[in-house]
Amino acid sequence: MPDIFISPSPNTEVDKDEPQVLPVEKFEHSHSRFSAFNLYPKNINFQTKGKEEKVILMLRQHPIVNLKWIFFSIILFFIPFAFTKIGFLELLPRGYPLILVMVWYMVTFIYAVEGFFKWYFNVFFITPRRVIDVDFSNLVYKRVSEAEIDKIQDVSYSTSGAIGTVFNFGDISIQTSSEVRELSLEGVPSPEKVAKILNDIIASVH
Amino acid sequence: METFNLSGFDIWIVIKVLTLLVLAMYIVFAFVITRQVKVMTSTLTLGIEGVAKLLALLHLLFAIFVFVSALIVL
Repeated sequence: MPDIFISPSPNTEVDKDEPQVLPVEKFEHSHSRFSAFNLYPKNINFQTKGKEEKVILMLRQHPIVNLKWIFFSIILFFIPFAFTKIGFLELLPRGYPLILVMVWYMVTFIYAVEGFFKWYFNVFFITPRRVIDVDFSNLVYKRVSEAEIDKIQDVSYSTSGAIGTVFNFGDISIQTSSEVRELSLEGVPSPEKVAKILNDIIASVH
Repeated sequence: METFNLSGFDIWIVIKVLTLLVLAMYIVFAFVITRQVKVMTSTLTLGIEGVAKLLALLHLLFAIFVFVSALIVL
């Protein structure tokens, strides 16, 4: 088993507010801005992030969840061609086919953009002090939930279904004693690694 | 007594008005999206803030363009 954490050197100066251990980079991961499992992400920030607060892990849903909106966007893109082929647009008075097609592509465009944003901006941060869940369910809804690491009581994960097993993604459930009783992450890559990292950080704090 | 004369009534006039109404409402929706993207990018800095804002703005401009086109073409 790879070491996930190493104890800091006794001579190292450590911030009193920070836990006494930090993970080392032993996992396969990427620093790409489109990565779904990003250890020590660079050049990222969020509204409530403290100046000295370091992000250990940033998570998104597995990229495979994007297939749904990509698939439907492609279908939507070709529907006007099908309408033209069957002669539906010729039944409409002059001007209407043009406006209908423009509206169609405008809605298709925003559907695809929303699908991408929903994946890209739905992120979960793990810092040495807390976990933060940023949720954008759609383009007009935002929710930010967070829990202190020392308030986390239990971390469990599950992988289900053939696709989840093949691509190794699943759900993580975090029970807390804070105001937010439960944080759940759906479809995150390598849930076992995330749970291990979280459990090790919790152990280091307690 | 005044009576309604339905002869010569053009259903496409009603459809045109409704279309313009829906497109006007869509412009409001597109504007809300630009605001929400602004909120989103101020909440999180993940590297594509400029692109996200540009896409939202392009969508708003396109919505206005479609409304104006409908006003002229229909």
